[in-house]
Amino acid sequence: MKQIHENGAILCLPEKAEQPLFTVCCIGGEELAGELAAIEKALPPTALLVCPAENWFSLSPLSAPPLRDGEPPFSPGAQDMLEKVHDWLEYFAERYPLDISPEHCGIAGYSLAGLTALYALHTSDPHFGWFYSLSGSLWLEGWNEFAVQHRPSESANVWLSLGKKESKSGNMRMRRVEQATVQQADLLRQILPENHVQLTFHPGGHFHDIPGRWAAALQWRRSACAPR
Amino acid sequence: MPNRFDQLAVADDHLLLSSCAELPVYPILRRPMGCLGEAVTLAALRMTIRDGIVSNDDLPCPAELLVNRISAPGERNLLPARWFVSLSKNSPPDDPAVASALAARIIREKSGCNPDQYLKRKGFLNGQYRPAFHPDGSMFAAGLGMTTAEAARFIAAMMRDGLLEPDELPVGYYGMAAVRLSDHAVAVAAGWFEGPQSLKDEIRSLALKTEPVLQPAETAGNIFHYNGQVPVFCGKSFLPRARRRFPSVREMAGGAGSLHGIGGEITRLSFQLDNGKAILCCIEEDGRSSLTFGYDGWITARCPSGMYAGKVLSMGEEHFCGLLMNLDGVSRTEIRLKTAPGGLLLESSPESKSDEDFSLLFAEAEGLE
Repeated sequence: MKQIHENGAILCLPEKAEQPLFTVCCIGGEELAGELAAIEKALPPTALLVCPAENWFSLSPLSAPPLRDGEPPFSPGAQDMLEKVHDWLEYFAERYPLDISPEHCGIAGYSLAGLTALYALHTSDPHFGWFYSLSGSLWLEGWNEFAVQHRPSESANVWLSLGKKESKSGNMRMRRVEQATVQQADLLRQILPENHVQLTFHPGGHFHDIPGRWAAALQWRRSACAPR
Repeated sequence: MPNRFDQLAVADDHLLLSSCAELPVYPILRRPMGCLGEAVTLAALRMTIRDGIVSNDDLPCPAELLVNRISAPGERNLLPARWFVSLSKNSPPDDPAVASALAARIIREKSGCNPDQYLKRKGFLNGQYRPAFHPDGSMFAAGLGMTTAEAARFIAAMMRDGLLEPDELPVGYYGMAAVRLSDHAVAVAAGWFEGPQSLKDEIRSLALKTEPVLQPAETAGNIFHYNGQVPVFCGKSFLPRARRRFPSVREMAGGAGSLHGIGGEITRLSFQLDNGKAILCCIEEDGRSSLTFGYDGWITARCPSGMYAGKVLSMGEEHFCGLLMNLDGVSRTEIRLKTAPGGLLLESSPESKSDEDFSLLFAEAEGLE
């Protein structure tokens, strides 16, 4: 996998592809590029644009108190992050082989970044047609109400995943995550075609087999919906 | 050492049944194949004997001995220096290449044409292959220029008429090997064969795995098709009409100037149109490059001289336009193909000022002369 570090983001391209590349913007730290490179062989041809978040706690779509003592509170920076992602997408598409048509372009994130991806879904972000929330922090107070009030585009494709043990977290607020994720899937199934919504439960807690969860997400429906 | 298969084709005496190939060498692209000359000569020798044109008295030794010499296993080298003397003496040959050349000379003397021409007259070969004898008498070559698919169809036809057995063909290191699969079908492989002992089993096994070939519609005249929704290439291959100085892959993809011209010039170039993608195949000093254009997005390719990506920009009934990107130099070239008198004209326009525009006329591989 060729990694191109430019303008603060990292573009990861498969060295040899048999099919046209699908584009996925992955919100995460710089180490995510290495993790994704490790699962490259399991993925269909995909251009992965790793978009680093400067402040993890500002990825939240909503304000919320801190999770633990001593941590900063969650501040609503999801929109700012999405605008950065748009800028990176535009920058790299001008220079490198990226397909930025919404049918072939998605946004993905793990944990709080998964919620940022869902924020893009519920604000009908026109850049993306595919939204991946991996172990998304849907337990965040106010998210369910926000999702109900903001109807997504009916052509969207949404992947939701969660660890089976995540609802057994020691943090009482985070224990809501399974219920909230199932609610999110039910809500989307009322709006989107049935095969456009996928909820998958993986073994383990929040940090178990993260590369495997990325691989499962990025493989979803690609054989049926990949660029010809 | 493992055998290396570049191409494999399965055919009966009428149709190409299946094929597979290592990119960028396609079974319907022409390439030199050692041992095909022997196949042509052997078949023509038996046919001229059967037709009463050549008799045992014309041969320097019994026909079977000559056949055995021609099909003796081993790597084929250039004709030894004494070959011309051997032919003039009409003495029993001790070298396979001399035996093949001697048989070809006898066929020409008796029938008035070279072995390939004789078979062509009889309707068993199509197209133009290299003559058995160069006009100045300095070289000999019989079968060069046939594709694996054509070779498979030819050998199957010879097999049907009892003029050739696939097992009779010699197996050298670099060349061709054939195996009878049934009464009518034969598998022909081209490559580099280090282990002739396991070769036949491997060919049979590979032949079972090949994809069936969809027989093209007889009426398919256009190079490019568009069914209103999906652009469809009709599965044709093209080769340059003339030898010329090619650019390097990097020059063609743009950005070579900024990289101090790394990469040798392309020595061989072909273009393949397929339903899923368009592939420009280049062989240069550093190795093979398959530059691939996706119909509906970018396709990346790692080549010896760097990493490239290609995408189809537009296509009509008579043109193709694609964008090729050099991901190391981050430069782009527009590649255009359009029908032109004599074939298909390829033009490239690198955006980098340090690289030159390039144009080349291609001819359809099946119709090459």
